[in-house]
Amino acid sequence: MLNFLLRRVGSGALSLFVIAMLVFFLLQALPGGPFDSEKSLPPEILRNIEAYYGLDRPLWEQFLRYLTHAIQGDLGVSYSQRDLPVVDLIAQRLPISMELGVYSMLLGILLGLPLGALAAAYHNRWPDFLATFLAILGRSIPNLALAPLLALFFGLYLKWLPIARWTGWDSKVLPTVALGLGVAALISRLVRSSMLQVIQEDFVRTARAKGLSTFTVLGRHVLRNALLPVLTILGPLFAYTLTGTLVVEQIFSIPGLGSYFITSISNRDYPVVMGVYLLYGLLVIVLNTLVDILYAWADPRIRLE
Amino acid sequence: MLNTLLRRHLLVLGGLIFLTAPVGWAQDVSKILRLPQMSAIPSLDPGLAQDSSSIEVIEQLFLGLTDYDPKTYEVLPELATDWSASADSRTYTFRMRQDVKWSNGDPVTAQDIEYAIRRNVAPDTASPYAYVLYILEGAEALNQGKSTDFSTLGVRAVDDYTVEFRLTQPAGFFPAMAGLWTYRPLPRKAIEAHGTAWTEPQNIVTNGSYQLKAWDKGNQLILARNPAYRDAVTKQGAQIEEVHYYITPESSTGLAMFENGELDVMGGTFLSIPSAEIDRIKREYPDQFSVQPDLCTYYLGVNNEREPTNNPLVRKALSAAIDRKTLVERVTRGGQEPATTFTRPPIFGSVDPKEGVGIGYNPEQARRWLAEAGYPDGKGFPTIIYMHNTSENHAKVAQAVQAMLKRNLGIEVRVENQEWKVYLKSTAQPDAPHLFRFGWCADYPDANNWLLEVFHPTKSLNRIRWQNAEYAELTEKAMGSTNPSERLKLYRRAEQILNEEQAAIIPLYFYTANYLVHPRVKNWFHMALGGQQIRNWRLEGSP
Repeated sequence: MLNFLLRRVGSGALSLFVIAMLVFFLLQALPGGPFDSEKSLPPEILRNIEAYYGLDRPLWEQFLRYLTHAIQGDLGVSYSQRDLPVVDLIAQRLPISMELGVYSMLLGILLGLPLGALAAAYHNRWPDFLATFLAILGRSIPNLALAPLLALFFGLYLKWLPIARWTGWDSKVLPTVALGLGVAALISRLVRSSMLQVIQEDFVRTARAKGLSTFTVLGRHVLRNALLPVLTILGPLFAYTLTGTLVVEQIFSIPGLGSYFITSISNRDYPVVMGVYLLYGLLVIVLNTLVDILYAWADPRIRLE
Repeated sequence: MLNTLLRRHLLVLGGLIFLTAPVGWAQDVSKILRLPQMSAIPSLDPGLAQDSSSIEVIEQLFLGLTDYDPKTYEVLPELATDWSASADSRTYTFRMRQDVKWSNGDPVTAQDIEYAIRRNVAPDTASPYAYVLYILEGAEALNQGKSTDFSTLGVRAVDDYTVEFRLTQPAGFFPAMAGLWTYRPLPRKAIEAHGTAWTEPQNIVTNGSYQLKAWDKGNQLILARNPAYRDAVTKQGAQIEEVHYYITPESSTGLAMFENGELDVMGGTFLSIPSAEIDRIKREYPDQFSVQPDLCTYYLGVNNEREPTNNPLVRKALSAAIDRKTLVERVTRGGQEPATTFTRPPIFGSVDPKEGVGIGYNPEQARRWLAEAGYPDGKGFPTIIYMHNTSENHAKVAQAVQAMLKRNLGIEVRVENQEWKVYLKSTAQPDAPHLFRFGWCADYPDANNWLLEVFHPTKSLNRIRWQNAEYAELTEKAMGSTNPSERLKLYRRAEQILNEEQAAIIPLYFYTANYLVHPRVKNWFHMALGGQQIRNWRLEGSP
């Protein structure tokens, strides 16, 4: 176990280093710099600003300095939000994206699990077709389209919920639904196919032969075993949901990390882009490791080596 | 085993939700003005600000020596009571009000202005707008690090309430410039105590009509009325208790919020109304919708060095083949006004559109010019490139121009688009596209900010790569002159060369700002130079 963790930390650090290097040099390769604007600045003013941020140093030196600072937890300051430390910026915005991510994951699980189980239990009968129809609908309507439709219907027409912003609980309903429906669809498909596979196993036939009710067989034997693949995907799915909040955040004016990430790329706000990339990389690595540990815990046949 | 695991999982999730549970609070909306703001506010430091969102808030927090009349753009006193120029117009002396205090109780003095300018000029402040101070003696050399002797800087507090500026050259427009944010007094003690964090709500010291109450970066900014504030002319205070700016990047979201009663003003410099919605808005909110002038011009820059647009006859033909009236009525549809000159009226030095300076729509004349240039009926004319930065509205304009040039001149135009920062680089290269769109907006209401600062062959970036000795001489002379009627004549002639004789650029239209304003907002008016004068607005009733 310790061995496993140590190796994971090692490979994780290497991945982060590669991410940092790639993003740093790719950003430099992008045409246009952080201080370009239509009213282009006189060269001497630009020089002052570049000196202020250390951008007048050679590239490799900037990169090394970034790395040494980053290891100590200093991700630099934003260029466009002048002098705002990137760490503070992430600390302000990440919890909001996390909150949205957690809600929509929860909605996804609460909705997707029963729907998938229902579909498997009534394989090739109308509940299955209905569940499949809903899941395909959920997967194929992008939240880019779903979000404005929800705001239009529940906000403007019915006046039940606010259109945008992240304040009271009522403002959180629409973004959660917009993001969570896709998650629900994915989970329900996964639960369904995984249950259908488990149903054909010998131990299920044994359970049936013992005279157990269908409900007990499905609930206690099939679903439990079918959840393993679902558990596997929860980690990456959560990371995906976090990084996928950007469109929903933009549309609902939610001050999360996702919406700011887009803006910082078009602003060429290098430290922010770097910081967010590293953070997302770290999240994916940590969540995957966590799932691996959980997986071994859930299934005694799996050993962490 | 798995059940326990799942339960644990759910418990953790439940805990997270509990921890992040929303804290709702009731507010009395009848005293709160709610405004959208399209991007996170980058800075509240008047010495560092350069974008319209920052300037909007700085206008509420910090006073300048002068201000502008929103209708005539005439210069009005704000912190200054009056001012005078020396005979050679190179020394300006401003006398200041003695009743204005910082939010910490200290009086606002001439020393605060002297400090602010020294600090903004210093190279390690890295102020992006420091070049507007270059008109002061010694400022340029100090800012570029060529000198470190701050006693050479052309600003001096003569006494507590008199400040004197020494200029490098006579400049009749200086009182207009002295109101810019880079010239505003700064609280020295707060800046020295807190460094870059001095604009945080717990540290900031201000002197304007509003005070910073809360700043949740990227989400919202809240201002509260400064009860001590009195207007320089009317002696009135501000009436609206609180101003809330909500960061709303999507204009369609902002519009929906307005329609749902969640915003009091929508449009203009805050967050533009989506152009596709304007027809519906006009129909559904005839009393709340209005079109206001905006001090910006939409124009096509021309690469004056590249074949075939290096030929003035070709440029004139292109300009005459574009039907600007149809463009604004059928394509942009936001009430924009067709433009044939560059400086946006009624800015000082602009030409009244009625005078007919510049090239209007005249397809026959266009074809004659193109034939004279050696391309009768467009024969032999190479395909030219029209580039715009990626945006739905710019794409529509480009397609319309492309169709007009094809129909009227029989020439092919290839439309390309690039992301903004890439676009800025591409259009500053020698092989810049033949045609490229830009919009220019006033920093201060004088044609110097337009004709010299954008197209002077050496004193501007000169994206259009155009050299014209007479134009350079005219704009330099107009800058130095203190005789208003002479300056008007010089600028008129410069516009004529730029847009008519040489057609070095092709102006398309003057911008307008579309607004939706809730009826409970009274005394509302649009300040086209940016920085709305909320202190003069009133709120009556609830939304």
